[in-house]
Order: sequence, then structure tokens, then C-alpha cells
Amino acid sequence: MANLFGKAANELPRKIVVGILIIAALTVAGIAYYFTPKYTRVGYMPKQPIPFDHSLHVTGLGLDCRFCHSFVEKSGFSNVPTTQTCMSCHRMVKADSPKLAALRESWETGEPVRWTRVYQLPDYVYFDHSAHVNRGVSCFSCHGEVNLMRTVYHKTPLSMSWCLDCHRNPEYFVRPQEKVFDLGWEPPGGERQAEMGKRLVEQEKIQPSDNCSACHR
Amino acid sequence: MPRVENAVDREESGRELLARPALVLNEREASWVNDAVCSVVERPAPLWWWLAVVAFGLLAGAVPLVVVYFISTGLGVWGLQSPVFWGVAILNFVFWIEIGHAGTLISAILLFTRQRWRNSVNRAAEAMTIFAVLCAAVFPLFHIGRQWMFWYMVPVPESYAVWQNFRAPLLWDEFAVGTYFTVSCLFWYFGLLPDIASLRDRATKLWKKRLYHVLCWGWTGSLRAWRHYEAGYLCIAGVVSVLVISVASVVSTDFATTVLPGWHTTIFPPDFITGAIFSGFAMIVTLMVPLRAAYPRLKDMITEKHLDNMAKVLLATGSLVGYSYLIELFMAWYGANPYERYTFWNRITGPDRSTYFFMFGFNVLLPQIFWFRLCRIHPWILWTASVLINVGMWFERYSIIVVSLERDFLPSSWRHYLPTWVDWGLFFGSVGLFFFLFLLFLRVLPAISIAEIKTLLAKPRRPREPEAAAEVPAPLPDQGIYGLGAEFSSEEELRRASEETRKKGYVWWDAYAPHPIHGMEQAMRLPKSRVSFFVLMGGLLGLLIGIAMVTVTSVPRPELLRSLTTGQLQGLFYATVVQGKPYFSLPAFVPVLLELTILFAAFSGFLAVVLLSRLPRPHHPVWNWGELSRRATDDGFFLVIEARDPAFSPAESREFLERLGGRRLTYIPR
Repeated sequence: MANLFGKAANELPRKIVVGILIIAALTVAGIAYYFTPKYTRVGYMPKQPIPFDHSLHVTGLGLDCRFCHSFVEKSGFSNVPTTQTCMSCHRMVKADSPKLAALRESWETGEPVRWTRVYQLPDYVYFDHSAHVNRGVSCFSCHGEVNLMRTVYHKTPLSMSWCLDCHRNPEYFVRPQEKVFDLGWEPPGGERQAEMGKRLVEQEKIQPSDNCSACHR
Repeated sequence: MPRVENAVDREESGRELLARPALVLNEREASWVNDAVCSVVERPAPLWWWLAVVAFGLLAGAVPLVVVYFISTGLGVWGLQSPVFWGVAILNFVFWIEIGHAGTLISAILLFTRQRWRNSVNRAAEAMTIFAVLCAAVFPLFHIGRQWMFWYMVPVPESYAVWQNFRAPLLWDEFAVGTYFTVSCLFWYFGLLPDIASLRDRATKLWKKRLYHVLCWGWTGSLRAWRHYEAGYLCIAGVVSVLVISVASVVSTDFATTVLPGWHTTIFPPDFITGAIFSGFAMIVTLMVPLRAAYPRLKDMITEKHLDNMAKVLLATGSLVGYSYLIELFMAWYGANPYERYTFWNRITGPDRSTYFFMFGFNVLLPQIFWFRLCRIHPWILWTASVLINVGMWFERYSIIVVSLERDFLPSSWRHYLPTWVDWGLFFGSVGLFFFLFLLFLRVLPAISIAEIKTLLAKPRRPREPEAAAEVPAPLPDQGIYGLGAEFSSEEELRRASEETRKKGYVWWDAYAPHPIHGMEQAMRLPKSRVSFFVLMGGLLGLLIGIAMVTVTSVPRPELLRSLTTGQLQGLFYATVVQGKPYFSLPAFVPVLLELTILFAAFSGFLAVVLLSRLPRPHHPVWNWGELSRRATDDGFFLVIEARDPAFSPAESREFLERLGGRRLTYIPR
């Protein structure tokens, strides 16, 4: 037979093992990042029919979230404003802006504006906006700094473990009820969120469920 | 060399006093074994093989067709209907997984009990195990309904923060079957290493040689490696034999932990184990008898004695199975539970009573013919009986699974179950797949363990005569030498020579043989192999990982960690109350812990053998000696003293080896 491989081949097994380890580590890391909502959902920024600028309306003009999303405190579904809501100002303000063409068309025809949906939960998940914003969960916790966004994008993963982070540890996220819609708010006087949160959780008896049937009903 | 001959003679006389039936007939020699086994792989395939492989391949083609049909249509095309939610698919799973038990039993448990006849059937039995488990795995895999969600059953941290319920029998099942399949493959492959080396040394094409060389991790046949190999084989066999018991038991708990009459019984684990051995042996006989007929040379290795032994196992386990049938009936009557009584009465007199009688006739009454020697050793009587036994075992599962489910507690929901063509298609497809894979195996790998058979050969009565031709002293190669090699004519001579070499004070030397040689550790004064230590450590590591996994994912997050951690780590704790069991429920965790222990122990055993033997080794200077590279895995016994040994000198060492009886002395170039 003589030797089938040269002397140099004796180094090969070690190199192959190292190579396999590197590839395996990269694969695991790659799947853990690229195949999870952290990557697949966060950052989704669709083009909307009207280039609506949240930072202009909220930070610049001082509108409250509930001015447009008017039923978020009463309904499970946070509504997108109707054309009438927009037109209550825009009949006078910037009434001829070319950016608002789609709005005016909707006003004339009666067909709603076809906004592209950014946040969407699967059908097997039950979610109620009112249950959250009435218990000290700010818009900010899920939607991020919308008050500063020129175009709205998907801020958080909305994965189940992400939901459970708060359901199991509400003290890291809850804030005083009157500050829920104040997106830029921070605990005053250098108080840490965890301490304040712990106090609020006790005072308000915030006990989020982590039963399966809380969301999968 | 009078001393050498004396030793052989003494051993020979002892052998005759304690004569046992020879396990290899006709005084075959090592090279004949190599030739007989490897020629099955090397020669062109006979016509019957092509016909059979096409026939079974077409049958196996039913599996993908049926699977595509019912995945795209929906599981409604199976005959399942309330209350029969487990029909023929789960039945087939149990049927195949139990057939798969005999391979490991023969490999592992018969190794411990020193049943040396196992050496000629263990390889084929292990292959049968792997293919049977593969066929078995098809059914639960497709039974889960949404097959693409299979990974939900694998414990990986993911963005759902959901963990498996390690207290559930179906998860035990997954761990047991998964471990069984993995470790069986590993054990099979481990046993194949020296035999693949045999194929390598016989191959004529360079690419084949290289392929086999890679597959056998560069096996040399060094006695230092054989020592680790033997220890490792025994250790892995040890952990594997626990698997045999655990897998059948775990499968039976899928049924026994429910409250259905006819299932809810403690006799199920032992009943399933005996049934598994019974059906597995029947399948081995079903494969071995035609194999012998197709390759008559193998009859010298798979003898009447083997058939006789396997038939006896069938008789014993068949009777045990019959005993548990009777005990079940007795308990149903004696337990005075009307539902239990009705279940068994329904099995015997209900609409499916024929299954009960097939089961009882084929599994209990039929094996009783094996009380007669003629039926045990007549191949075709034995073969027919073993095929019928497998049919009977299929009906046993039908009787247990389907007939029990058809009659639940509420008579208004009773329903007669009928499998649809999809059920049958998948079943017959799996039969085709099984035989198709086995036929491929025959042509690709040695179907009989060559190295292990060689340890059973009657040793030559006296050392072969040295060749008469005067040996021409090999010239010293120009580019320096690796060492000096000599061939010895028998394992006994090699053992003697090794002992002398060690006593002479040589350090850098090794012996090469086609099979392990007893007494070699003492002759070479090698320390005990440390493989068993690594197996223990691997097992403990698996146990610890298992304990950590099942505990952390099952208990509530401790208060201590509440302020310490946020984010993903908290997703580890997934406290869910199921089946009223406590969060930490040790008895319910045992199966998963056991399987993980075995999995890690087996793999660390394999790795320990490979690494302690300094494998894989693509290049080794001893192969520069053509004689050794041709015959070290066939019938040659070699001893090589390396040039780097301080006591080595070309002339003196040569004289020394010649004095010991070494032949074909060669200076091996570096």
C-alpha cells in the first residue's frame, strides 16, 4: 500500500477539527441572530402612502398619542386615525401640500387611507392595548421613541420571550400611570427604574400572568 | 525455538480437554475469513441482489410518495378518528423500534455474558438495529402533524422562551429513541473500524483506499491501539446494554402512564422488553437464513450452532411473552375492575378477536416447535417460523393499541378503526425501506465482524514453517530508516517476541496484528487502558448537563436571580405545572438523565479510544513497509522497533529479531 497520504496530512485532522468548530460556532451565532425576530422584525420601516412625521407632530406640535390613536385606553385595538381626524387640521394647515395628496383623495372619495401596518402579532396571540396602557406600561416600552421618529419603524422583536421579559419582571418597565403617554419621561430625581418599578408593582398590585392561556386563549 | 513450540503444544492439549463446538467450521484461516467476508463487498453484485434491491427500492419509494400526499392533504387521510387517535402509525413505530432491540442485545449483553457465537452475527444485527430504528422514527416524526415544527421538541434556547416538559413520556421517548439511534450508530461504526481497515488494505483503487483510510481513522492494527479499542468496546457495550432495557421500557410508558384499561399496567416495561428481544431475534433469523443461502461460504461462520442458539432464544422469549399474556388475563380477572375485564374480554371475543388469536398462535404456540432440534437447525423451518413470529408481533401491537382504544369508558364514542391505504402504504413502504437499506449495507460494508471472528479461529497446530528460500538481507535505505520490522508466524510467537523485546530494554517499538491478542498487555507491560476513566467522566458530564437542563427549565426562577439578571437568561426558567407533578420531579426526570448520561459516556468512550490510540493518523511510516501495509489487517503479525530507540542498532537489532524467529526482516524507510 505504502502511504496513502503524505506526512503533511498528519496535521490535517487537527485543522479540520478547528475548522468545524469555527463553522459550528458561526452557524449557531448566525442562526441565533439572523433567524430570530431580533433581526427579522426589528427595523422594518415600510413606505407609507403619506410620509407622516411623528416627531413633527408629537415633539414639534405637542400632540398627545391619544389625539390620533384615540381608543387605545378603551379598546384592545389601538386605532389608526381616520381621515376626518387628520382633516380637522389639514383642511386649513398645509391644505395644498403635495405630500397630502392621498389624504385629500380619501377625503373626497370616502375610501380610507391604505396605511401599511408595521406591528402585527400572530393570530394565536391575544393582545389588549387598554390592559397595558392602563397598568403603567408606556407606549415607549413596545414602540420605542416614536416621538422622535420621522418614519415609524419596528422597534422591538415582539417575540414571546420578549413579552415574558416584562410579564415576569414588570418592575423594570412600569411607570406612573400619568406618564404612560409621555414618551421621553424618565424617573425624576435620579431614582432607578427598578426601585420605582418595585414600588409601583406593590402599590398598584401589578401581577401580569405568565400562564399560557393569558395570551393563547 | 523449542520454548515457543512447547507453549503452543501445552495450550493445544488444554484446548482438546475443554473441547467446545467450533464456531468457525472447517479449520478456516484468517486470510480465508478476510476473503470470504470482503468478497461479498468486492465482487460484482449477483443477479438476485439487483432484483431484490430494485423490488424493495420500489416498495421503499412508497414512503416519500405517501408522506408528500398526506402532508399536503392533511392527517385526515389516516384512518384516525375519535377515540382511536393512535392507529397503525404508532403501532408500526412500536413494531420497528422493538425489532431494533436485538442488535444491541447481541452486541452488548451477549458480549458480557461471553456468548462468543455473537461474533458472527453482531455486525448484521447492529445494522438491522439502525435500519429498524430509522424505519421506526418515520412514524412519530410524521405523526406530529406539523412536521416542520419538529424542532419544538429539541431543547434549544429560542425566542419563544418555551421549554419542553421533561416529565412527559413522549419526551422520554424522543430522548430514548434519539440516544438509541445515535449510540447504536456509534457502536456499529466503532466495531467497523478494523474491518474498514481490512477493506482498505484489500482495495485496489487509490480513491477507494483513501476513502476507507479516512473512514477507519487511519487504523494501523497496533497492539497499543487494540488495547484501548478492546477497553472502549467493552465500556460502550456496558452503557449500551442499559439502553436496551431503557428504550423498550420508555416506549412502554407511553402507554402505561395513561389511564386506559389494557394500557395502565406495570407489566408493560418487562413485557415490552421480552417482546423486543423476541421480535428482534425473529428478524435477525429472517435476515440471516437467506444471507447464508446466498453466500454459502458464510455458512462456515454462521453455523447450525448459531441457528440453534437463536432458536433457543426465540423459544425462551416466546414463552416469556406467553407468560405475560396469561398474567395480563389473570390480573384482569383477579383485579375485578369491570373496565379492565371488559377490555380483555373484548380482545378475545370482540370484533377484532382474530388479532388476538394470531398474536397468541404465532408468538406463544408457534415457538414451541423449537423444543425439537430439527426445527431449530433446519434453516427454512426456522425462517418460516420467524417470519410468522414477526407477523404475530405486529398483531400483538394491534391488539394492544388499536383494540384497547376502540373501546374507551364511554360506549357512545366506541368506533371500529380501519387503516386506510395511506396507513398501509407507509407500513409496507417502511418494510421496503428496511430491506432496501440492509441490501445496500451488504454490498458496502463487511456484514460479519472480521476482526472478532478471527479471535474464534482454531489456532494453527504448529507455527507455519519458515519459508525455505534464504532471505536476502534488505539494504539500508538511503534517506535514513524509521525502524526495523519483522514478521512472526502466529500470535503466540508475536507475544513471545514482544515479551523478549521488552525484556531486552527496547522502549520505542510496537506490535501489529489483525485482532487483539490476549496476554499482550502483560507481554508488552502496558498500563491499564484509561478509556474507562474517560467513559465515566463523560457519563458524569452528561448527567450533570442533564440535571442542569431539566432542573433549570422546570423550576421557578429563584428570588435571588430576580435582581441579578434580565433578558434572555430568565427565559431559561419555565415553571409549568403539568400532570400534577412537582416542579422538580426526580422519578419523572430519570429517563432523560439516563439517556443523556449514556449519550455522553458513549461518545467520550469513542473519542478516548481514538485519541489515546493517537488516531486519526493519515500518514504512518510503518506503512512504508509494503508487507505490513498489505497484511497487518489480514493474517500478518508484525513487530517494529523504531530507530529512535536508544538501544537500536541496525545490525544488533536485526540479529536479535532473527533469533526470536522473525522473518522478512526489513529496514523501513522513514
